Amino acid sequence: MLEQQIVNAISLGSVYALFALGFTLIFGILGVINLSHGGIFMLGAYAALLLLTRVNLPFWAALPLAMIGAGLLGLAIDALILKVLRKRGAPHLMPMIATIGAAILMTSLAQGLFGSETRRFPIDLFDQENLTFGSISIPLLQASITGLSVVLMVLMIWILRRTRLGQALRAIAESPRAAALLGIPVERLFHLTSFVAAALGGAAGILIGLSFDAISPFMGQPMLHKGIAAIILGGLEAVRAAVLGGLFLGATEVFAVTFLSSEYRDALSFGLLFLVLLWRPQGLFGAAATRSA
Amino acid sequence: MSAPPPPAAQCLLQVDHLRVAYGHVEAVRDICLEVRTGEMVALVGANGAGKSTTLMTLSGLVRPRSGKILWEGQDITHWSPHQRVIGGLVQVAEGRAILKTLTVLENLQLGAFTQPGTPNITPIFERFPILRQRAHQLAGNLSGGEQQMLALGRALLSQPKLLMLDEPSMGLAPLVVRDIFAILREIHEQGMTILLVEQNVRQALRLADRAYVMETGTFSLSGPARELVDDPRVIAAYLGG
Repeated sequence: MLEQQIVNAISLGSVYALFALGFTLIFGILGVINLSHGGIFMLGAYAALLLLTRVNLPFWAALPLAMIGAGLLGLAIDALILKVLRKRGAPHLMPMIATIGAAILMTSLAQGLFGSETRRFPIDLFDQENLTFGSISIPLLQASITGLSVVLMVLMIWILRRTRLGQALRAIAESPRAAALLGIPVERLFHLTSFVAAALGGAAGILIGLSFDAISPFMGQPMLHKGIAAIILGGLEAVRAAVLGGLFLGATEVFAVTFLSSEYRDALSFGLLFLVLLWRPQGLFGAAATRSA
Repeated sequence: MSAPPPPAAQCLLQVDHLRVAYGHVEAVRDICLEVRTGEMVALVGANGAGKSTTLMTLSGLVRPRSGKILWEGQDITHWSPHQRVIGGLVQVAEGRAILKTLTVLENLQLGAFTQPGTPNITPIFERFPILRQRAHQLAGNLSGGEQQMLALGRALLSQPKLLMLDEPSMGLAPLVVRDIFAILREIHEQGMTILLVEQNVRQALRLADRAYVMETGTFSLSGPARELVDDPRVIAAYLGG
């Protein structure tokens, strides 16, 4: 029983972490709080749904295509909104408000196009088999969700830590101006970051849609709050914080449901957020107020 | 060292009636400047004269209101900052502008970001042995002088044709300033073309071949550095008589 809950916690937590990772990439590198990330998450799920049901693509093809679709949406938001504000040197509040607008636009667009009712992915996407490890048995679906999130996160962290591109991105995260003087094409990497972050957000949307067996135009907003909670819980140290904060949040929710009741789930996790802000403003896992991607 | 250069042909950088404004405040008013291959040119003047704005405009981080920047005869006024670095126009910004959250080695590797292949950092380590010792430390933990050496070493890895330095002596102890200027002289004698912005007028004029004196956005004087050191107007304004 407890083992099963731990598996659930890791599975949910890893998707939260994936969502928060995209969110935090934008924050760390563009220096912008992109409140449309929840909308991209939601549209990513719908894109996969359409590719699966209308185009009849297999899941392994629908997932990357939907991620590319979400990525292009993120790119469009950067090119049409964030870039304009950047060029003007607009204060921090402006991109926040502008992306709230973009999120509302996406939600109502989804309502118009797909209807307000909850939709589901086809049930036969994953075999009903279980993977068994000793006394723990994990449904294939849950194992795939966790596996995909972990692979994407490890890939991102590897790129940021070990590659030339990652070095350039960390340079921009510290100072876009200093990076430009080194010959780093800052604008181009802003676009790339927006694309990748949105693709990760879209992937998270698909995985959450699978995990809860529900897709709706309104799924983005609560997820956005959880993403913000995850990075604050973790400490604003970008990648590591997002991952740890996401896992922690997932665990809190799963155990809240197990030991209290599902009604108290969000109350507990967000209550915890307040406590962290009061007692450990640097986050549970953050060392000091440093910022690095 | 710089032989008397023939005109135009060897003109590396040419700035033509450049004006830069922040809103209604004109920071640079109609300046013309040129740097020829092999020269060390100093741009001196008081704080707020527009020297840093000039360099930022040359690097493409600030857009001019009007005027032209010619690089090896080509109009680069609208090039992006990274295109200029690729072209060989490299700046060490004021305050050293090293990346504090990256290691010394990562900073150096990024210096070679525009260069193809794996960067060869050995010559920089040979010139600045302290950087080799600290290669795996965060650059933010270096002393001021070490940070300036890192910034300089990093810039050299971009293979500059023109190295622009903004106040390399700022905030450093006099002994360290002497070291930095000695290194600049050495780099220049090995053939590097340098545009040096300094508030430390005396030292800059001693080092440079030619100089421009900047006051409230324009050049009040210009000429061979050796003559400017003895110019009564320069002595009165900057060298304290």
